[in-house]
Amino acid sequence: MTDPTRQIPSAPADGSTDHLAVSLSEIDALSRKAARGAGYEWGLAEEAGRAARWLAAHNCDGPAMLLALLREIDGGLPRYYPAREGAAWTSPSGALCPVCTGAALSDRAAEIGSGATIRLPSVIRPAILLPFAAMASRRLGRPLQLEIGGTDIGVGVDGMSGGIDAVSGTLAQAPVTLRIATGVAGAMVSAAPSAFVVSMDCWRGLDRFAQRTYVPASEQSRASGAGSGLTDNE
Amino acid sequence: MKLARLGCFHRTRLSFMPVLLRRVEREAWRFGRTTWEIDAAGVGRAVYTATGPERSYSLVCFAHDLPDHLRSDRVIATAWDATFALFDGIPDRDDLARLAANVPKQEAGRVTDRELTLSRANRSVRLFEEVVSALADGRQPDAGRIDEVGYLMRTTAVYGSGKFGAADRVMIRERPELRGPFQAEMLTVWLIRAFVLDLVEHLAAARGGESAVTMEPDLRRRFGIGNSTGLGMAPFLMNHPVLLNNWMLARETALQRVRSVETATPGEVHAFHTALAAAQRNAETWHSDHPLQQQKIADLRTDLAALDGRTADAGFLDAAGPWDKLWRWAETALGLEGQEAVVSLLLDTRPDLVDGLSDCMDADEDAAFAIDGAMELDELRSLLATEYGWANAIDPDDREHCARFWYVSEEKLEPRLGERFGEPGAALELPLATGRDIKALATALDDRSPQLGGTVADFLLAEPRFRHVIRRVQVSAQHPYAEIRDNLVAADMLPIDLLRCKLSFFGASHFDPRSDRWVRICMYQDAPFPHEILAPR
Repeated sequence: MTDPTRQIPSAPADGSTDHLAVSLSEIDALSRKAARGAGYEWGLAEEAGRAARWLAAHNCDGPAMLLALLREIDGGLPRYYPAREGAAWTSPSGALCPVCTGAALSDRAAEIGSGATIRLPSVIRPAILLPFAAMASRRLGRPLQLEIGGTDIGVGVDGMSGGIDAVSGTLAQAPVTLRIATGVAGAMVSAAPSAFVVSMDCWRGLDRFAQRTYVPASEQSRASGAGSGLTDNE
Repeated sequence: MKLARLGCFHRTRLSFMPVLLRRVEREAWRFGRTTWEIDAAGVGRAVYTATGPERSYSLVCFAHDLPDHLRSDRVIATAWDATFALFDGIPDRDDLARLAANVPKQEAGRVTDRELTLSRANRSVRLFEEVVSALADGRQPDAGRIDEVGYLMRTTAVYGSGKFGAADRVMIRERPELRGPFQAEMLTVWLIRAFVLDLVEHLAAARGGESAVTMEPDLRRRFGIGNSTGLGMAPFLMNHPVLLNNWMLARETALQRVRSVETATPGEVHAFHTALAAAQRNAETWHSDHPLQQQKIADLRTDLAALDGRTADAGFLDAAGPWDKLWRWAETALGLEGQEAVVSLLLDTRPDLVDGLSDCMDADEDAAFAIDGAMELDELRSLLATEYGWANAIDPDDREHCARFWYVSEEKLEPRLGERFGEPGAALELPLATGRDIKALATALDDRSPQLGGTVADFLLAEPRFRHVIRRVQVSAQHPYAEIRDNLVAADMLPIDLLRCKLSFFGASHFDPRSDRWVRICMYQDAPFPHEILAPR
């Protein structure tokens, strides 16, 4: 990040701490811009922002997961973009982007609601699918059941249950199945909105992607692009 | 929902400042200045605490010694005359130390979720020295000069809702006093006003000693807090369509209720005339250097005089459905500024019908986010026709229709409006050109082979670039006032219309554009001070 008196990064630049307490709004905003910087269309970047925010609100390191995803797909998103062939979900590389796939599944909530089981052979950073499952669950008014790399997780309007710790954080890639939940869910962990602590490395990493969405300043843009004059002694 | 009308909005009793003032009075809030450590040069800190039925909030103020050449209202400023944070509770010494290390740095520092807002203000160099000097000499400042400027300091940003580490809205929205939009920000500005007046009196006393006086209460109230707003605020209305819808819906519902009133009592007619007289005084003291605004103010004065003349006739409001009759007359006889002034006046006649609607102005934006992928494309086409017919006039080949682009500058992340064909950066454009995107969507839908799947889900899988705009279309279907029905990248678009709309909902007055993308306003002018809330009038 560059000189903070000329440009304010999303975090103090003095590097005095390893971690930073950030608000959910800040996570949403920076994640959205980072996703855009990595090549997602704005509509999908918005989904990425919301997803990172939802994960953080449920005490999962959404920002770190998103950063790992962006680093993996950077500049090559089409290779991970989902395609539908009958009931199967595929991609050119064989691995699926969880933001694009999650959005596609959320769009198809009705299909899940009518009893279909979605099978995704290989999803990068699969925990990022959870917020999208939550959106589908909200639309359907019913909880969903996911199996991520062999671990069961329930997602409902009230929160999540099951092996969240096992799938969040470090799980880089796994097969996923998704369906309407049958049976009784385990104890739900609800969102506990409060400040979230991210690592400075993670925050800086996301910021580097977000920087790609900013237009460099010029004398002209500084003078005429925004508003008031450069000094205001009135 | 046209910019020309939105750009003529006035504050109403549903605006967020009057909503706050009604609450603190109704609930008998208590206020105290718990810390005052300001030296003779006006440098130091102060704390003001506001206590409601359940909670306290404290404005922590830092006053600085700012050299004139560094004074700037722009987002890119790095130093200010005064900086502030609204603390959630009563700060202890450690809180104050932490805030002292961060608040003066503003965006370059951090606040925590114990802070609700972060803000800063600069002096009105014109008036500040004049007032200190007068009070120091034992004189009251000149009322005419006060009216000319309207404020001693102006805020240049008031950040809330999780920015720079402050508390997220989701943390505070269950509290009755903070559920309404921007209530934390409105409280912040009101307390800043109290600080500013205390500061000038303090400086006068430091300079004049025994001969210094404090300001007469009537004069004191004439000072508002100024605000300088540029493009930083402009994208807000586009980025929060459900919220905008709810604000407009409350306003329109209030207007509809008053128009439905069958007869007006003498008391209500009197309330109307009182409000009209106040509106005329307000128009008299409203000044601007901007030729566009000068014309609008002149038109407003003419319109209010016409309104006065029409309603002076006792029989006019004696009729059945008097307010509807008045509104229909205004639509034909008055310009937009005058019509919008009538909205404010009508709402003032029936607080009983209007005030409760302020509880309906917040929004659950999460609920509206998810796209309905099951929607058939034919239904989407139909929505484009009914909700976005206004976009048909946009010609993608006409350079005037896409002359601008919105973007975020690398320089302090300041939102800016660029000239698409005159400068670089359009590739990094923000998705705020809704009209143009709607046209592109319509074309893509027309081109789509009917053999392909017929739902929004299928379409979006093939064309992810339309996800943002389809989300907007679906929001519009459920929220009639969500969309501004104008081309936001046209060559002749005035960003100040966006700013005025939002600021009118805040309760601002005396809109004074300095360019097409920068406006000065006044807030809380003529409002009581915290210490006056429980005082006998």
